[in-house]
Amino acid sequence: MIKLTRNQWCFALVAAGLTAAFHHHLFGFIEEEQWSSIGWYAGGYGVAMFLAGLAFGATDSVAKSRLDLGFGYHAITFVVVLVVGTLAALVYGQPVWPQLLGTAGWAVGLYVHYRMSRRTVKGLDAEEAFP
Amino acid sequence: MKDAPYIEELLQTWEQVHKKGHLSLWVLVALRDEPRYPREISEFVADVAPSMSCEGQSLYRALRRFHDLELVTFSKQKGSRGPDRKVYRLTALGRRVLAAFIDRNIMFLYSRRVRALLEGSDG
Repeated sequence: MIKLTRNQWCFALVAAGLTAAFHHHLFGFIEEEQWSSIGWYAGGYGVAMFLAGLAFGATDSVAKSRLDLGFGYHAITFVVVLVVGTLAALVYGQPVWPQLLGTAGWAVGLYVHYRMSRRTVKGLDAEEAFP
Repeated sequence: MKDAPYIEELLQTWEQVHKKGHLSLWVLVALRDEPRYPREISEFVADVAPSMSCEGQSLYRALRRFHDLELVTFSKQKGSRGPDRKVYRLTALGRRVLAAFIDRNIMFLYSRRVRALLEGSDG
């Protein structure tokens, strides 16, 4: 059973809100063929998501180590974007496959992050838990 | 013996690696039978395992980690002079982990076969 910290739950809610707002305006830009605006808008959305993750992660007090916190926030972002993005596409009558295709590629990156993140025990680096 | 300094250097290098993890064992053993203050833990370890160094910072760091891992807990007791002192004891989880560790990693060393191997004739 995966347990999220309080900060991670808050981040998930903020990320869901940002993602829903992003997709709402994104589909509008696509319909009006404002392609140049999409790039700026997507960039702003990405920066906002990253800063939100950084802010909640930096103040996350439960884990004693930051070693696997980064992966946790990355995984939450992945799930939120996948779920909210897919729902938004369905609600706005947009094709779902671009969302799923992008997420498939992202899943590879997420797996790489998982393999590279340090092993921890209750937030402590596993190699330093027993001195 | 001209090899003596080199042998000593090899032994110290090997022992340094070998001792990693032993501090954890002796600190937890020190707390198995009774709660102790950090100074008492240090004295216990020095008495039982003289080759172990259990100095202030490394002991406090170990105790903090064990507390985070829920292996030990502490209560504060009023000092006769100065600030309150922490007295540490094993949790139920700590007892189970320590017993399992000793069973899996220490007790086999006392088997007849292993003792015979370790006491084998010098080549």
